[in-house]
Amino acid sequence: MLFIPALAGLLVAGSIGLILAIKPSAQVYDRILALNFIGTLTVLFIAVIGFVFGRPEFLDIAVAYALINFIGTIAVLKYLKSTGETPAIESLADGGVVTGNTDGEESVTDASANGKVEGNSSNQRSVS
Amino acid sequence: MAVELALDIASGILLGLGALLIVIAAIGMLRFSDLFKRLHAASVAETGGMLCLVAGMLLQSPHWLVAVKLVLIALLLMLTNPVSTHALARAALYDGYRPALRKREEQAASSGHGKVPDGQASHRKAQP
Repeated sequence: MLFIPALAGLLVAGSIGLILAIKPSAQVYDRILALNFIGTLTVLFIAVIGFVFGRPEFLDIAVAYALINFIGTIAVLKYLKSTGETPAIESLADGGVVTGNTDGEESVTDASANGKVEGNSSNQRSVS
Repeated sequence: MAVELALDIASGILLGLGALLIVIAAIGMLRFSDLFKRLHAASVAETGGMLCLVAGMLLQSPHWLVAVKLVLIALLLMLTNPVSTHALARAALYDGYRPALRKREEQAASSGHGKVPDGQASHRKAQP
């Protein structure tokens, strides 16, 4: 019965996801990714804790939480930006703007290649 | 008796493997430098770790209704998590984020020559 180590692993992973979500150098999509990750872990956590306490009714809550998590992620992404002109294939293949970590390790820009995509102004959008 | 022991051992192995996968995915999300790499790391937990944990709980289910709910949770998460990952990557791509395709030295070398009008595609095609 490894329910308690599974709970511990879920808690550790959830705290790492929380660190990712509140890190000051994170961009909007990193935060959304961390939110979705934490939501999935919460679903599993509720299911496992139902088994630990011997109350299988918690699985209904887990099902509802999974649905709400998906709807919330899709709604936030739709609110941000997911429509508009499809980027051209050449502009996708040409590198364009490489947005790595904001530590500046890989953040090189190719000013001659991002003609069709949106410029650099929308890349540094971050919630602070 | 022996069947119950085998079920306990199998569910313990599955629960431990699931917790391990989830923690590894969280560490990967913390260590990777690009948004798309982080998406890749998160999907390890959201499909692999989730399936292992749910299978481990499924072997311990006391009633068939609990097993049905667990299968329902697994199906829901397997349907919704790739969809939200895809929507997140698509929204980030439309917002101007690009995956880091080239290395830094190569980028510096190609930008050192000034504008490289159309040699970039073949240059990258030679790259493995």
